[in-house]
Amino acid sequence: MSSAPAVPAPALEPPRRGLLRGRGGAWREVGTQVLAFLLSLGVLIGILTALHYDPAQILWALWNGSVGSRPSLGVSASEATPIILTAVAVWLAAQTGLFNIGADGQLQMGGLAAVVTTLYAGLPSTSWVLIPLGLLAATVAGLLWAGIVAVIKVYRGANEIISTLMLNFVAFIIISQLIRGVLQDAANPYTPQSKPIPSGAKINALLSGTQLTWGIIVALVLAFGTIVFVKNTTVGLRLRAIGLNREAARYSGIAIERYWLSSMLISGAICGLAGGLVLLGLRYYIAPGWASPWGYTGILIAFLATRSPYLIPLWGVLFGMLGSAGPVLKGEASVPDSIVTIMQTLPVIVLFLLCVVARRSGGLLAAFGRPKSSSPVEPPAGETAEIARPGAVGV
Amino acid sequence: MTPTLLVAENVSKRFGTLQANDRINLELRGGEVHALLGQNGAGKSTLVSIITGRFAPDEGRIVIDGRDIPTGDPHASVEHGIATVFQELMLVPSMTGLENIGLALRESANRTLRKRIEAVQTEYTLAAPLDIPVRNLEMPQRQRIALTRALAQKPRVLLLDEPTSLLSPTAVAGFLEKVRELAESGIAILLITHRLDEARTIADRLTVLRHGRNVASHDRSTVPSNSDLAMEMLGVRLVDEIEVSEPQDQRMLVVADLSAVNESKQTVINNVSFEVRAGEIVGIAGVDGNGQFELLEAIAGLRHTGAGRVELEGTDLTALSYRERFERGVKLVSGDRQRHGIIPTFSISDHFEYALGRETLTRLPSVLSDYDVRPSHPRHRGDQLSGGNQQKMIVAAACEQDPKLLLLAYPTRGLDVQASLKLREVLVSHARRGVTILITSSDLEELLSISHRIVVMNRGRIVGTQHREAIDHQQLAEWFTASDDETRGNAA
Amino acid sequence: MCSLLLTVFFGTSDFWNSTVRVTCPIALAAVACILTSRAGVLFVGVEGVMLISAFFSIAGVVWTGSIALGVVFAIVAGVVTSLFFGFLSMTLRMGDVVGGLVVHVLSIGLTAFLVEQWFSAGATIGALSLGPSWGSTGNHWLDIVAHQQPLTYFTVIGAISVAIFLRTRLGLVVRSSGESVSVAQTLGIKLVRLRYCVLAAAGTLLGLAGVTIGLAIIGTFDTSIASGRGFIALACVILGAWRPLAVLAASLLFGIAYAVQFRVGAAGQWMQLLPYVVTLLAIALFWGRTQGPAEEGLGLPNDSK
Repeated sequence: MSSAPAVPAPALEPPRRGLLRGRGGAWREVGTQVLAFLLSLGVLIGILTALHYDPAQILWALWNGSVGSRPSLGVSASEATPIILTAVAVWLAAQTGLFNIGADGQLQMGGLAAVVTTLYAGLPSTSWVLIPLGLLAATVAGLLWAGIVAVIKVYRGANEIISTLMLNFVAFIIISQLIRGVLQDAANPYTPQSKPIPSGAKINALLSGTQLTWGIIVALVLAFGTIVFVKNTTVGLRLRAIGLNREAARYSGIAIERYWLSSMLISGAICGLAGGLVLLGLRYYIAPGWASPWGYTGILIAFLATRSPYLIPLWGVLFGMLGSAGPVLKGEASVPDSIVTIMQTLPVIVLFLLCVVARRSGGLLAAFGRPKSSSPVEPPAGETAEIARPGAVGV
Repeated sequence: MTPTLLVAENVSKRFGTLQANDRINLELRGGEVHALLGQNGAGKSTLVSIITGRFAPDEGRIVIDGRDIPTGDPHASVEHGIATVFQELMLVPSMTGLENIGLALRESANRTLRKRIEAVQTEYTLAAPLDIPVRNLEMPQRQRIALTRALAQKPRVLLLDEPTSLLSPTAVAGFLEKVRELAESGIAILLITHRLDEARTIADRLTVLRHGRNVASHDRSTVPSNSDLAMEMLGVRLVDEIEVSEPQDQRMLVVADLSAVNESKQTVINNVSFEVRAGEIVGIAGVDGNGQFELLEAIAGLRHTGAGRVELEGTDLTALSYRERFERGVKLVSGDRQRHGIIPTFSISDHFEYALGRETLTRLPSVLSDYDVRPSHPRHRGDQLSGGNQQKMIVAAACEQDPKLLLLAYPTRGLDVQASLKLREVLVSHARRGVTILITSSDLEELLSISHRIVVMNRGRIVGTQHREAIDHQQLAEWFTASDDETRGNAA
Repeated sequence: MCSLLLTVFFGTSDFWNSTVRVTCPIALAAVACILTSRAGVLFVGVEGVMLISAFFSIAGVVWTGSIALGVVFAIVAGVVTSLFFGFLSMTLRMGDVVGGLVVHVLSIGLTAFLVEQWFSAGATIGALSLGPSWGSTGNHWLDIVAHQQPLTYFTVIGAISVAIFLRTRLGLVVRSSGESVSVAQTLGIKLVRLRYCVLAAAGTLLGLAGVTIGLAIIGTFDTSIASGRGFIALACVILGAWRPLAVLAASLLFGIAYAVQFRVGAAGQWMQLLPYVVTLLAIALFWGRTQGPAEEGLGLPNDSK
C-alpha cells in the first residue's frame, strides 16, 4: 500500500454507490416509483402539448398502441420480454456489487447462438427439439460471454464496467461480420442478414394474429423467481451481503469470489436467454439492428427499481408498452416515436430528483424519500487505524 | 515563560454514541514540544482533526493569539499558521514529492518551488527525493516529504500525529532530534503519540488522554516514571474481577516462531511463540501498535506470514486460507464494526442468517436474549443498533458457529461500561464451554479482568507472560515500555 | 500474401488520410476523458454528449449557414450536456455509470426527436471542410501530416496542452481529486465544484469532437453517427494508461481499425476487432500495474461541497 489513508473513505462513509443500498418501507417505495412514473408522463405530455401536439390524441395513441388492440398487446409483450429479462439480470449482478453493463452484448450473443444452432444443427426443420436447443444455446452463449468479464474481474480484479462495454462492441462487430459473411442469406445477397430460422424453431403465437408468445410468461416467471429467490433465501442474503459490505462478508467466511462468479454467469445466461427468445419468437433472423437497445433499457430499470425489485417486471411491461406505442404515436398523433426513448429515461431522473428533494426538504416530502441514513458518523480514520488495515485483506 | 500560541478550550465531540472528546483542554507554547499521549480511541486524532479544521467541535473553541479561529474550516487553520503531518501522511501516492507539496501550497511544481523546497530540505536536513512518485518511496522518505510540506507552509504551530508509527526503530531517534530542533526555532509542536519513551525524550510538557478526557498533565520536571505514565494511559482503575473457570488440559492453539511484515515491509510480528489450552482466555496486552492486531490477523489467515507455524488441535493451519481456517473453527471478530461486521440495511436476523444459515433463526430469540442484544426484535435493523449491541450481535453470530478459537481484536472499542461488561461475561461463559479465546484491547484492566494469562507484546515480540493469580502491575508496565535492547534480551 | 494485404490496406496515402480523419473525433473525446478520469469521474455519458454536440453542429450550420456558429452551437451543447451529466451523477447521486447511461439513452431519444421536430426532411449538409486548410505540398505522403483540417492539429495541440496542464497548479488539484478524495478534502479542495469545472472543460472538447463527426465526417444527422466513438474513447484512455500522448496513439489504433472497415476484403473487416481485443487484454493482463486514478467512478462522499 501507499501513504494513502489507512482507512479508505468508502468503508467509513455511508454507501457511495448509494443507490445499490438501502431498504425502506416497501409501500413508500412503491408510492415513490408510481409518483415518478406519473410525473414523468405528465412532464412529457406537458412538453408535447407546449409543442402543439394534442394531448388527448397522445393518450389515446398510447393506450391504443400498447394494450388497446390485439396486435399491440402482442407487440407490447414481445418488447417487454427482453427488457424484463435484462433488467432482472443486471439487478442480480448488482446485488453482489457488480455492474453488468454488458447485458446488450450478452443478449446479442444469445440471439446469434440461437440462429446458428437452429440453422446448422442438422435437425429436420420441423423438429420439436429446435426450440429448446436454440434457447439452451442462447443461454449458454450469454453465460460464456459474461464469463469472460467474470473471470477478468475475479482473477485479475479489473473493473467490470469497461470490459463489459468493450464486449458489447465485440459482440456487435462479430455479428455484423458474420451476417455479411458465413451467415449471409444466399437468397438476399445484397442485404446483410442471416437465413431465417427453420419453421420448427419459431415460437408460435398464443393468440392468432399477434406476436404474443409464451416468451413473456417465461420472462415474468423467471424474473419473479429470481427476485423471490434473492429476497428470500440464504444464498440471496449472502449475495446481497457481499454487495453491501464485502469486508464484513469476508470476515463472516463467505466465499466472495464464488458468489461473484456465479451471479455474473447467471446474469449473462438470463441475458442470453432473452436474446434467444427474441430471435425465436419475434425476429426469426439476424439483421443489423435486430436487437433494440433493450439491454440499456434493462440497466435503467434495474437501477430504477433497485430498492423495490418486485417492480422490475412491472417497469419492464410498462417500458415494453411504451416501445409498442411508439409507432402508433407516430401514426395517429404524428409525434416522433423517439419520444418513447426519452420517456424511458425520465422516470429515473424524476425518481432521483424526488429523493434528493426529499432529503433536502426533510419534512415536507420525507414520505417519498429514502429512509434517513442510519450509519452513525464515525470518528476520524486515525482513531480506528490500528485495527483497520485494508492492505491486509487482498481483493 | 514562552508565550502561549494556541489554546484548545473545553473541546467536545460526539460520534453517534461515542463521546470521542469530552471537554478537553490543551495549551501550546512557542518553542516547546508538547506531547499528547493516549491509547487508540482515547480521542487524540479527533482532537487533531478539530484543531486542523476537519471537524467542527460540538462545544468548545480554538484560540490562537488570544483570538478565536473559525472551526470546521481547514483553510482557516492553515492561514492561522497551523500545519499538520497526519498519521496517514495524506500524500497523493501517484504524485511526486514536489507535486504533493505544490498541491498543498497551491503552486505549480516548477523550478521556483523546487528551489524553495530544496532550501527547506537543507535548512532542516530533510533530504528526500522530490521527483519520484511518493508510492515508490520508503516510509521515512515519505514522512520527510510530509514534514517538508508542513514546514514549507511556514507554520507557527506544527501538529505531528503519530509521526513515528511508520518509521523503523533506527529512524526514530533521528526524527525526534529533528523535532527538537524545530521547536528550538520557535515553533509550537504538538506530538501525538502512544510511545512513552519518545514523549519522555523530547517533550517539554505532557498531556495524557483516556476515554476522551484529560487524565493528567505533567511538566518536564514532574514527569512520573514510564510505568506510572503507562498506567495513566491504559488505566489502573481496578474493576471487579469476573470469575473464570479453570482451562482444560488439552492443547488447542500452538503458535511457533511466527513472523510477519506489514505493508511497508517492516517486521510487525517477530518470532512469536506461545501455546493456548482449550477454554483458556489469553489477553494480548501492550501499548497499541506493537503487533497485537497483526498477530490475530496472522493466526486467522488474513496476514501473510513469512515464517513460523500455526496449529489448531494438532492440525497445521499455516498453509490454509482465511476461509479454510474459518471452516475449521477459527473466528475473527474486529472492533471496527462498520467495516468488518455490520451489513447496512440488514436486520438482526439477516445478519445471523447470511453467516450461519437459516436453521439458526428458530433459536434466534433465545440467542438474542442470551447475549442481551437490545432491542431484541430480530427484524430490527442491525445498523440502527447502538455500538454495544452491534458488537454483542457480531460476537453472538461468531459464537453460535461453534468456534474452537475466537480471536477478538479490540472488541469493546467505543462501547460503554455496561456493554463491555456484558461482552466480557459472554466470553468467559464461552471459555467455560471450552472455547479458546485470544483477545486484544487498548484497555489493560479489561484484559486483566477476564484473562487467564496476559501476554505482553512490545515491538512485535512477546516480552513477558503473567498468570492471573500473580499479576504484578509494576512488571507489566516495565514490559510495556521496555526499550529495544531490553525486549531482545527478554525474548532471548 | 501478407505483404500484399499490407500494401492494399496501409500502402496508400488515401488510407492514412481517412485514418487521420476518423481518428480526430476519437482522439478529441479521449483527451476529454483523460481530463475527467484524472479528476476521478468515469465519464460514461461521453457518447451522449458527442451525439448531442454533433446534432447541434449540423443544426447550427443549417440554421445560420455559418460553420463558425455551428461550432459554437456544438460547444455550448457539449458543455451543457456534460454539466447535466455531472448534475445527474453528483447532485442527484446516480453515480457515474447510471448517470452516464441516462445521458446516453436520453441523447439518442432527444436528438431523434429534435430531428423530426425541426428537420422533417432530414438534417443534411454534406461533409464540409472545416476552416482553411493549408495548401497541399504536392506530395501525397507529406500531405498526411501537413495538409489536414485545423481541428486535427488542434487535437494534437489539445493533447499536449492537457499533458502540460496536468503539471500546473490547477492540474495538481485536478489529479488529487482523482487520486485521493480524502487527501483533497483534507487540503480543503471543493471537489464537487472542481469536478463540474472539469466536466465543462471536457464538454468543450467533446463539442469539437461532435463537430468533427457531424460536419467533417458524416454531414448528415442520424442517431447512430457517434457509433460508439465515446465508449471507444474511454477504452483509449485505459489503453494509453491515462497519459495524453499514449492515449493519442491508442486512438490512432482505433482510427486505423475504423478506416480499415471501409476497405474491401474479409480480413480488413475482422481487423475492426483488434483494438477491442487489445484493450480487453490490456485490462486483463495489466490491471493493477498501469493504475488509473484510484477514485475513478467511485463518486463523492455525501456531504461533499
